[in-house]
Amino acid sequence: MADERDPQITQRYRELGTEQPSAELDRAILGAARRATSRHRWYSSLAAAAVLIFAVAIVVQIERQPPDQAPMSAPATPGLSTPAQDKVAQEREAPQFAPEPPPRTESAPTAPAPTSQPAPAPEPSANIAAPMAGAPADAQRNRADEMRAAPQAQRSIAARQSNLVEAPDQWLARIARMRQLGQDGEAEKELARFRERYPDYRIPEAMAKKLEKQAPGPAAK
Amino acid sequence: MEAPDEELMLAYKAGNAGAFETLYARHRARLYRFVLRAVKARAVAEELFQEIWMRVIEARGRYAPRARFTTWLYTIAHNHLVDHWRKRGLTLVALDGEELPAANDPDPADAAQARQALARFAAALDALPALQREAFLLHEESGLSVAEIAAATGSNEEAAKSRLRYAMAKLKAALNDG
Repeated sequence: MADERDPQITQRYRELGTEQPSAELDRAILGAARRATSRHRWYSSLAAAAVLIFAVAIVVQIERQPPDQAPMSAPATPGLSTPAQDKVAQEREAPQFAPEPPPRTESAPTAPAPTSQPAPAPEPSANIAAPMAGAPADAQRNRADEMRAAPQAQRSIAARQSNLVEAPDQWLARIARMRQLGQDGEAEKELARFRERYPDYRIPEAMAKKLEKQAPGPAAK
Repeated sequence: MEAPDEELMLAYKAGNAGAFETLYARHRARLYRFVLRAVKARAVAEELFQEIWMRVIEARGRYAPRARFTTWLYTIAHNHLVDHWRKRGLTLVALDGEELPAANDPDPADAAQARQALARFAAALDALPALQREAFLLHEESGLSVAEIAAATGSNEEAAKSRLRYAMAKLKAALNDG
């Protein structure tokens, strides 16, 4: 019903005029679009050149190395140490249990959490008539526990409802918490919904890392 | 055959500036009028219009054609408008529970009456609550369906349909009034 237009209203609406952006505005936007792609090309070329130089340097280094020279820290198995082996060695040195994440120091619940990245431009919530940043930090922290306890259906309804009012950074924090709890399926779905809702939102790097699928930690004894 | 918007945006994402020019030419006028009628002041509309396109340019790397490009574009526009209103201390209140104005029977109109009717229509459009006006503009100016309006504004289909219905009823009443 609502998709059908009223011809009378459409006609009147068209009579209001067909304003257009100025030519100056067009030039500014198209110029910015072009500059953005030329920057893209410049960065790509630079990155390709850097990779090439790096590869050549490695080849030269390998060729200069005498064939019988053993590596400084020879691995248990013969052959050169690979990045994967280095990673294993690092993991051996790491504590057996992943430490609990440090408690958050959100003294001011309304203030955004500090990040190492410059704060992105403020983004609107889905509905600004609803309270924007009023959720206390404790409530946020407890949400994951509540969600674990709630039945599946109830949980998805609650999540959907909370998305209507929560600000983008709160939404992302909730997805990050899902990752921590190993709820990867739900986290993926929520992240897809977030990207659909805020297509132009620049996720700070620190948060982006939290949103990535967590590698399984070392097994507990 | 013309390339679809989504294809053009992907081409722009890959570095084809010409694809953006085509895309811009397709959407500039409608998006401009959508913004202009939402904020009313030309200077503000021009500023917002430019900022919305800047965001499109900036977000190109993250673009994925999950929905129609138009929905994606107007989602960005909606977010930016809400941001603008929030900065100005305005809130969007959905007045979906209010009573519909009674529609009168249309009267035959001569040229002068038509001008008056147009003025009444413009005033009625201006007087709509922001969310209802936005729903109407997204539908009428930008050609979005109810589902797409819901997606672009972060609401559900029922709310979008309701806002559109109220807006249409008020505008219809303004047309028939007098």
